[in-house]
Amino acid sequence: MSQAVIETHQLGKRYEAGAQGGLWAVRGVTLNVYAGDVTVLMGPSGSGKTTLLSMIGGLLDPSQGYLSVCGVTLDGCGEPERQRFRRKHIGFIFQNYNLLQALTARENVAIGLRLRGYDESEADGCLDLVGLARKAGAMPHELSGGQRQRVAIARALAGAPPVLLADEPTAALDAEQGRLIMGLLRKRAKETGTTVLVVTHDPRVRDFADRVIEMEDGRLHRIVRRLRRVPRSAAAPRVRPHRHPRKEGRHVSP
Amino acid sequence: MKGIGWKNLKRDKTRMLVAVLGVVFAVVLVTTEVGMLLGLVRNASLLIDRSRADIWVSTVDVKTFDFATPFAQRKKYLIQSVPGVERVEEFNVSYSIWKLPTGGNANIQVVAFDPWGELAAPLSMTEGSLDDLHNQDAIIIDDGERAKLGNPAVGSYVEVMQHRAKVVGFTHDMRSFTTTPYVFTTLSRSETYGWLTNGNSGPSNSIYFLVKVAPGANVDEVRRAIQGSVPDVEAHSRESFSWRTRSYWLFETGMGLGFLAAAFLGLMVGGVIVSQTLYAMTIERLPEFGVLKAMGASMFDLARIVLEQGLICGLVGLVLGLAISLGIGQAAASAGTTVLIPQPLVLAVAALTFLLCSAAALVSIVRLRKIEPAMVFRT
Repeated sequence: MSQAVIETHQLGKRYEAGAQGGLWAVRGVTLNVYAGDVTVLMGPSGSGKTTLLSMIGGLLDPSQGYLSVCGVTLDGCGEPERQRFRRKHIGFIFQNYNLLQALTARENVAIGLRLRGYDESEADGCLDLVGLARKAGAMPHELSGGQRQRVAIARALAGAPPVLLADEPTAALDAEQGRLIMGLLRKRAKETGTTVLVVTHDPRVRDFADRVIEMEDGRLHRIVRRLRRVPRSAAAPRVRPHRHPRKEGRHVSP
Repeated sequence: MKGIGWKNLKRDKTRMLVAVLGVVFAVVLVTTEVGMLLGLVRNASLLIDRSRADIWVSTVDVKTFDFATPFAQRKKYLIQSVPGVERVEEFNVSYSIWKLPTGGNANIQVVAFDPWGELAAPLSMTEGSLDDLHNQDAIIIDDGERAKLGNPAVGSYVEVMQHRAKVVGFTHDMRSFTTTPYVFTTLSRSETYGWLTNGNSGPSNSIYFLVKVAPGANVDEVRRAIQGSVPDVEAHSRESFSWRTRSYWLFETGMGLGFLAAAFLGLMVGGVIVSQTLYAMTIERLPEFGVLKAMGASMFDLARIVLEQGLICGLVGLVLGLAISLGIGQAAASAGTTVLIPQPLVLAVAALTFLLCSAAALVSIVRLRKIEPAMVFRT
């Protein structure tokens, strides 16, 4: 078994809610996620999936427990340290793409590169990875939903972060585009050892997962390890292998 | 994060236009109000500043150049006898009445000086010659005051204080701070055309004596010596008398405060417009800022975007505002009002504009500080 990239032990997040004494959104979560794995987090609304994802991504400070991502202990970390952590280790993908509307596809990707200290000229290479090299100069409003999400993935991949966190990446897409996006993420995980954690309601996403974790009432309900077979129609677009500017050997598998 | 601010503005041209208009409004108001104030203040002490006298002697407690009171002309000899005094010249200013062609009257200020003298402010002539002042009944007026005085031409005969006077020339840009036009003439006619008593009805009076100190003499020492040895007079250095005149109009009349208050108001209104526009743009793009923060952008990175937007609006607004102000200045000059826009004012307005836009951006930056990066999963 390779070393876990994401490690949590009895992790919890409590929101204070006035006189009623507060609410545990996540509690007692103990979980290991390994390099190159595609892990899908499922569960009903309010089950704590997104809160867990936010803590793993260094966006929220845990209220209790232990959390380590890429060897960085995040519980009790200040915002400046978490900011540096996010910049270096995490790529985010959102349901609504969240592209900067005033920038072209290339410029959106360049932001990810710039923040991670890479040369912006690599933006075209990142877009090529998601099959959108020809749309580099397009504004977000000129792209379809699927293309926007692919630009968002290219932005998340920019600088080759070891962990990709995706929140409902297929929710705004049709079935075909959804499969395309998940295919891309899985391909990335397997080719480069990137750890991919996806929060979703979409049952089709299960097909692309190495593990499916179901959450309920803020706790891990069930973990299913899948022996998966990727459907033929879900194949990712043919892409050139991406040469990573940084090779730190973080995604070591035994 | 360089360039994102500019791209945001390009995408939201309407808001950019509103913010730029806010800056233009502030720049135009500040520049023209202060420019008018500078023009008025310059005119207030123009004849002092352009004079070549080191010391101005008047009665005690004169508040401003325009409101001096007469004193005995013979004191000239006492002043002359003070050690360190090289030359003394009489200089009179008195209010009078100009008969208009319509039958009405216009108030004027008769400025009488020695045309052979060396110490009074030289007249910048546009028509006629200073030598013509030696002719009988000769007077000179400023070309900017023609309309006020019934549009006389060189050679026109007019009536001043019920005496005939002949316009022999025009000056340029030598206008009174008050609304009463200057009428330049010789000392000998100051008693005819002004209120000063002449030798026939009592002792002759003067308003000012201009003093040139001898080479090597200390101006301040001579000034104190004049005050010490000549009774009931006050001797001012040229600079201090100029400042006394300006500060009277600026502070004692409330005029300066009025102009500055209008300029400040313009600045505030412009600032609020810019601030509100930038804030609206920021709120609209809050999810985008949240994404940047989630991706690891620092507060400095985010602040830079908003600041860039503010400074670009500031720069465009400044250029347009200054251009409009210069146009207003030229239009005002042709209408007879001096609006001075010197380089230091331009630099000050530029600094103020960038300060204003930075302050306007600050409101948005404070809002950005409150963004939780986790918001990205809720939008």
